Amino acid sequence: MGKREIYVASTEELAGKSLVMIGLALKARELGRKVGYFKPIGLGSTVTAEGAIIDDDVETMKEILELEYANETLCPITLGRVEFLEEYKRADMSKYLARITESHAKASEDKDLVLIEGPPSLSIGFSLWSPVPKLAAEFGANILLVAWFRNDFIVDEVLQIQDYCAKWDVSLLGVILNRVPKDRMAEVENGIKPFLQDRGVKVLGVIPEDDLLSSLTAQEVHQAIGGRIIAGKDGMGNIIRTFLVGAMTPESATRYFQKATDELVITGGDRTDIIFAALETGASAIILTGNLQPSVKILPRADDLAVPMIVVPYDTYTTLQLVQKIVGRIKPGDKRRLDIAKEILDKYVDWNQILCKSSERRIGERS
Amino acid sequence: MKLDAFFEPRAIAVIGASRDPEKVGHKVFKNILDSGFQGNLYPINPKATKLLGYECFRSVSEVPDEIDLAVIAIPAKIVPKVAEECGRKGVRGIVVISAGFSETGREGTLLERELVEICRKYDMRMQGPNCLGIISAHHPMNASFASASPLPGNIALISQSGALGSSILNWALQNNLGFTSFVSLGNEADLDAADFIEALADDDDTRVIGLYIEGVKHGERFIHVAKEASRKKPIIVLKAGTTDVGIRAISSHTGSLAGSDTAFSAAFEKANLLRIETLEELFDLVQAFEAQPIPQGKNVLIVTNGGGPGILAADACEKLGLELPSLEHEIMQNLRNRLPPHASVSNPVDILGDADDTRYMTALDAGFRSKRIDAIMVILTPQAMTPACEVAEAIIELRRRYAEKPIVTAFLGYDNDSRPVKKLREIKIPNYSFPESAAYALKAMYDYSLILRKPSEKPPKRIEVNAELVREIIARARKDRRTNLMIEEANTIAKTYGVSTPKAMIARNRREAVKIAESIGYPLAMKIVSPEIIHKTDFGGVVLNVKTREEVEGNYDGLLKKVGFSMPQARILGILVQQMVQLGKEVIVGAIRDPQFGPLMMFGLGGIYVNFLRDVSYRLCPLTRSEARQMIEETKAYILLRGVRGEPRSDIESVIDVILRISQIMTTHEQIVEMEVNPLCVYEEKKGCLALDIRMAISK
Repeated sequence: MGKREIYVASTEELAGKSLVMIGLALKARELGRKVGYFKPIGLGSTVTAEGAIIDDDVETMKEILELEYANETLCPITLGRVEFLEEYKRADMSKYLARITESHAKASEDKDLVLIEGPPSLSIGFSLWSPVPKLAAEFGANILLVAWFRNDFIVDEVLQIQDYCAKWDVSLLGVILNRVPKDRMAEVENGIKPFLQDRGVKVLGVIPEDDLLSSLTAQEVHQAIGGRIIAGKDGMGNIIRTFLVGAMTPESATRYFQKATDELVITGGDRTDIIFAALETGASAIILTGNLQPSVKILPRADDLAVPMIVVPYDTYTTLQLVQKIVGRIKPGDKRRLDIAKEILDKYVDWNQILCKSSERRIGERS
Repeated sequence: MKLDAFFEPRAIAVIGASRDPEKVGHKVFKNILDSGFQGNLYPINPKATKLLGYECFRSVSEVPDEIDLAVIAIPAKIVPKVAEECGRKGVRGIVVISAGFSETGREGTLLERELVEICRKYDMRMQGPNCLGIISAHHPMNASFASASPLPGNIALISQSGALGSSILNWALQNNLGFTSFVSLGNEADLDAADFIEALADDDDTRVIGLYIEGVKHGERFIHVAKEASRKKPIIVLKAGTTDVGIRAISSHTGSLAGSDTAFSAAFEKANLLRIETLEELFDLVQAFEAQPIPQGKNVLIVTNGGGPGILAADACEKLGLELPSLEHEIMQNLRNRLPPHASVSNPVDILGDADDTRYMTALDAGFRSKRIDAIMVILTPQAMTPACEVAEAIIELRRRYAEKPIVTAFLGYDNDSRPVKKLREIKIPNYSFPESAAYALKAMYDYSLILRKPSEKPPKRIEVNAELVREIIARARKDRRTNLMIEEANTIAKTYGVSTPKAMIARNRREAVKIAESIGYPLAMKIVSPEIIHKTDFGGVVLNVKTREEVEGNYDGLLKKVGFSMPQARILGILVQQMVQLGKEVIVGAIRDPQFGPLMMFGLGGIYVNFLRDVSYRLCPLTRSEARQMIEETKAYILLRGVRGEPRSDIESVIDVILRISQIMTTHEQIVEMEVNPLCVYEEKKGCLALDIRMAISK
């Protein structure tokens, strides 16, 4: 079996590129493949102590795949998220291109499968003479598109991308439609999928909007925002999908919480009534703001129900801001989400076709 | 008697009976002694040999006698060990006075659970912990640390607040009010309010039960027990926490979820309890019920020696729904002959400022003999020539002569220590400081007479339905993690249970909308369907009276545009194309699931104004047909349904059916936490009603 290179590109940020990358990587490793990773153009998310900017995705994939290359090898160019042009506009781009090619060769050496990660959208790289299809042609990689299925207009976008790739003489391996609203799953499977196939775009996966993946655990919330856990320690693994601020009357709180699922309730430590309403309606966790200890009478009930109660020094608004920041990222040590990623691939994606079938036209074998 | 170990113990051990008069254990022991307890009494105190002349024992196990009741007043930590000893000894009941249990947090809770387990193991019942104790005034026994022992009487008091209980006892003592028993519930770790109500219901000496609560442990059992007990004697309940602030305070006080006051009201209604709002009313009513016969109806005769107070009393009665009929012609004629010419012989009977006891006797006797009168109120104002004591004696004489009708007095300006009021008190004729309180007492007695006469009715037979289909719909929604059911699902559930809905389907595009429209037929209503939009009208999400294919197409786009503009983030699932129905009277039928008492039904005036008018009534499920009817009759919507200004009467029976069907849905499917039919369009008699819009929410 020859080396296979898959260039995973997405239509926009949060379309689910990392999910697909990680899922494919884990699957391929299970099949005993030597999996490499490469990201020609990264976007900086973290600044190191030395002032270098790092793309977090690269760090994540490096750890998951246990790769021992330098970051520069896996991701030769990292652009700032807001400003980058000043640095590159007068540069000799051929040097950069050479660096990309060189790094790619190193990163893909001895690998059976190389997963190449594209930027959040296909347009990124154009100003640097390095658009996605051009690089794909360069590497001899197939483009796998991950699209966020917001509405039917995504079909137009996919077809446009297909057309755009054709200009570079690269064809799409296929598209994965991700984050499909649950009530439209059947419709997408039976209507939109065949429509795209008729137009020559293979639909390799239809994934419903998954809140398990974007959900948090009480543990993660605690890790991210700190605070003291004063009760319900057994429930630190509880899943959190919604955040609710408890500032209403006790009677409406009960009705409001009853209808919420996997909710984290944020309320003041002095609101015993709200805390009880949250406990009795099955909240996943409760954050008590303002450093206010609640009445001790509550603690045993929280222990019984395994609902963690975390006391934090912040006010309610700040707390909400903090928890909202941590949603939706997969970290290498996060076994729960890694398992979910694998499960999603198993259930909704034809990963076998993506990883194994070589019937696809390989780049370079011009038709 | 149930719980006789608590109310009528033959032998009591007081564990922690200290020689130090300041210690609770000492006070309890001394109270038992002072109350004149006739059984065997054993102080348990390893450090003492004698206490107040009684031989002390090192532990219960050393007592050479069978013990019915052990009163425990030692530090919380060693209570489980002592309880274990009691269990082994075969003690039948323990009263744990010690504090330091669940009310103090985590460790205390564990201690309390341990205690409960020990009780279960030995089949021993427990009152408390963290309580004031128990008093059984007839036995007699005062096993509490209350500062005073009450007089024996016919009132039982059960209180979740020990502090309030002891204050009431003191007040009662000052006012010569007597008790059968007083129970301080404490943390209710084992025995709760319902258990004691059940026991006291069968106690012949107890004529009325007063109850102070902040919450109940087991909602359904509480209702069941209280309902049974209410057939035997009136139960007057004072429930704290009727406002948001009060409810908040209850959570911190009791350490539990404070139930909604609406649900509590419905629970009291279902259990036939007499609910009062203030402590003063509690005192007023226990006195009214303690010895008086229950009236047969709502007709009151007022006899007064002052015109003004008589009129105030008449107003108060009228406002409370009591009636003041005239006496029979013959009796009036007789009165006319025997009273001064300017006395008033119609009701209120004004026997004038110079009335003596004979005049009172004459007028009151007429009231007792009249077949039109069910209850009597005597008003006496202090005037120079008023022989108040003699009047009191006349009333007492009449009370002896006529046993069937209740009589209450309002001796205005006489305090409870005055001789006439004391005289009345001696034979338990309630005297009130003001005519309004007297009227209130009579009204409560009339209410209780209605409770006694209520025919016992079972909820109607459940209709046979395909409940499996409903369970499937709910399971599917839960699988998708949706808590709000989609309109089509809600409609299917309603239809399954025989609630009629107009023909309707959701269109996901314009072409579908037209197809559905043609199949249903014009005219049509079109409504936006989105989980985010609950009140569709508010967002311009409803178009009515759509008559042509072109209009369907136009409105399809129009609705999407309008909602897209007013609520851009809302997820639109489609447009509901619904058969346009003839307009009727709009009412709302809803239900929520109360965490303590289960499904709570709501009925009221419907349409878009429901949230503002709050013309609604509530009842707990399962409903009987009369309860469903009462729900309707309690609201202003009922007046509209009966028809105003020559309108035909609406099909009220069909509304009752819908209420009962929804009651069945809520009792069958526990996952449904909330549902609302709004509006339910009600047509003329025999023409039924249609549920135009249904919302249902399920638990996660």
